[in-house]
Amino acid sequence: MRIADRSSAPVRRAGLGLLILLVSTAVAEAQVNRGLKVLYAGRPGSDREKDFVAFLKEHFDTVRTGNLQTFKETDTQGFDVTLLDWDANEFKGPRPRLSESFSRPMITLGVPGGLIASQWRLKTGYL
Amino acid sequence: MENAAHGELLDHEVYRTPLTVQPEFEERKTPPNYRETYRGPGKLPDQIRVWRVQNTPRGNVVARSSGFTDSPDAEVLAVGFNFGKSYGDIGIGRHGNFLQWGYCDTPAQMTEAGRRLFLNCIHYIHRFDGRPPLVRRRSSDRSSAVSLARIINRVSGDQKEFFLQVFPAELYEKYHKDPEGLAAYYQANLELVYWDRVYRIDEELKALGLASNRKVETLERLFKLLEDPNHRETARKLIARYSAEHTSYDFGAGRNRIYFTDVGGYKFMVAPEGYLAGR
Repeated sequence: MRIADRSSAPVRRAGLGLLILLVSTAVAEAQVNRGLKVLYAGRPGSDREKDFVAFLKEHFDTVRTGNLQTFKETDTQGFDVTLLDWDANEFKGPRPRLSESFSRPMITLGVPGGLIASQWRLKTGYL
Repeated sequence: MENAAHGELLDHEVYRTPLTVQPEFEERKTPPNYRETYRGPGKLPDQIRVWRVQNTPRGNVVARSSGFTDSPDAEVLAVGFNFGKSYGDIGIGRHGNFLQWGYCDTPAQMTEAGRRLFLNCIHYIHRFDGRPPLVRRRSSDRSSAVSLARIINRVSGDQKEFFLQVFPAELYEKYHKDPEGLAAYYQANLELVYWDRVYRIDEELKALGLASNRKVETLERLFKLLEDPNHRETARKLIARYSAEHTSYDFGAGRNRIYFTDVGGYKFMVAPEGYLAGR
């Protein structure tokens, strides 16, 4: 025989609410890690640089710029991720040198990035 | 490459972490070049499901997909929708600590899904700090032997010179007027192709009854054959052919770290302990 326990209903409702809160917290989207330090090495003063840097600064607290033309691998010291970029669709952009032991996280962008990756004999190089 | 990526690979964590990437899919007409380069399974549909990464339709680049994943340091993150290269070529890929974003637009011109994926890529590549590429491009993968065989009569310039730069001289008389026959020969022996100044079929391996030059079982068998006086010399020669110098192989606990790479020089190599963790 079931006995209705009216006094426990508010407790059950509160428990359900807590459960929903916990589940929704678990599935909520994680946030970007604003603490990642990002270096963007591109063409100084270009609109392209401005756009990338403005966007990156919305999401990361530390964003610095560099010049791809004079880029050296030591420039990446102190940064978590380095982005290498130049003018879009530019086949004659700078091709910095890098040692094969270089192991810091790096993103190469677009046509210039593909050509740089080819020079470094990476699989990500342009065909 | 166009401004879109194929609607596949979306189960990769880079589409979920830390931001959820929610592409808006659309159907685009299957590029004619895909018909020439698609190797199955089945037939390509007339429409390809893609999602737009950015606005600008041109000026983007892909990386070659053939051989891209023949070493455990590389992975495809997005297949680039393209009219100029091959089916499956790569719009976004990772090789060791390097990630290539093949799209050219700035964030302002990316779609929301594109921007989110871009941010996720920054987070994702950070995980590979201290893990440089295991191999560098030294040669094309074996499927190139088949592709190049098909064009021996279509190249401009001295076609004999081209043939001899790619294929062994002893095949010239038989195949120089028969590109499809040459392609069929390489396709039939694909598991035994290797590069030694030209694309060769490993007849010595075949004579030992070994069907593939890129399976770990083959390498293990060759080491066992060193104990057989009848095959010792051949085994030694083949081990030298397919091993990088000073490489030792652990066929027990270290077996899953042994891999064969065409692109890295048609060699068996060993990933350092711990390198594959956390992928």
